[in-house]
Amino acid sequence: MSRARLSEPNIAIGELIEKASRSAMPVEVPVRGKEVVVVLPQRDYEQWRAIREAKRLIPMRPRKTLAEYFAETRRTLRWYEKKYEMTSAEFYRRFQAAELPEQEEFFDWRVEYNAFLNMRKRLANAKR
Amino acid sequence: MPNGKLRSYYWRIATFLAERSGYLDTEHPAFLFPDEDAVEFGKTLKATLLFRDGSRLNAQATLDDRAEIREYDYAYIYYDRRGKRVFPYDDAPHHTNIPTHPHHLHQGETETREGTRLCDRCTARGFHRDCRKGHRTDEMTQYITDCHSEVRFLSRPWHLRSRQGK
Repeated sequence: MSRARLSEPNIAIGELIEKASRSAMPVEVPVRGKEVVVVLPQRDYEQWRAIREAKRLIPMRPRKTLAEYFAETRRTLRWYEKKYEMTSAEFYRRFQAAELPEQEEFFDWRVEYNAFLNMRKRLANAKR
Repeated sequence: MPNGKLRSYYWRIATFLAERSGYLDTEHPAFLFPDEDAVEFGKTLKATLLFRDGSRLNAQATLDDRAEIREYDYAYIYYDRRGKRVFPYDDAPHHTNIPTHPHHLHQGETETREGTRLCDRCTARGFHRDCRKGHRTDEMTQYITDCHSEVRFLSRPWHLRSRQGK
């Protein structure tokens, strides 16, 4: 999030709020070099609170790098390919042509394959 | 290039679930929610949401972020506490004869229907009409918590339950 930084540590609260309300972005003021006061629009503040609450209440998987996610997805695809004896590309084509039944593992395979394609594209773009 | 829509979408779902955390058994070892990088990198969302009554929703979707986020190649499968499939809702292109094609809802283990017979409350809420545009994880969670009385009752906070003598 971009912020407007004010270098006026002794600014009055009223003046700070006045400046923040005219600013298109959150305003921050360094205080004694150690703390920062940030003035946010109410909506942004509510959103920040909601996200903080979500982080507290919903357990999320630990983060990995793009390369790690890509390797994990490839492993999953290989597992499906071995089990059903066809490539993921072939599976996707056949499933979308309704040649294969609707079963739970196929739904998962379909999404994993899409993730694989998206990550491969992203990795290729990063190398350019 | 990332345009911020996927992260915004991710946090919309996460904050929605946090607001409904009273219904969810987030401490169950099978509860699974991805991190935001996984959603952005793969443009997919895979989650297993456990409800306090023991039922669970397996959600998996691919996300198109070129305009407003749209889910495609998705499947939502809801199981009751005994592990019996209550319904899968998906967009597999297998049922060309139904009006909401490719979006469709199955009832029970094998039957295929277009989503009009789940319960009166769902029908009144227009759930089947919305099938045409597909559903999102937050909408499906809301649908389950609103329309399945068992989930509603069991997931009510304990102090409210005891006040009603249940």
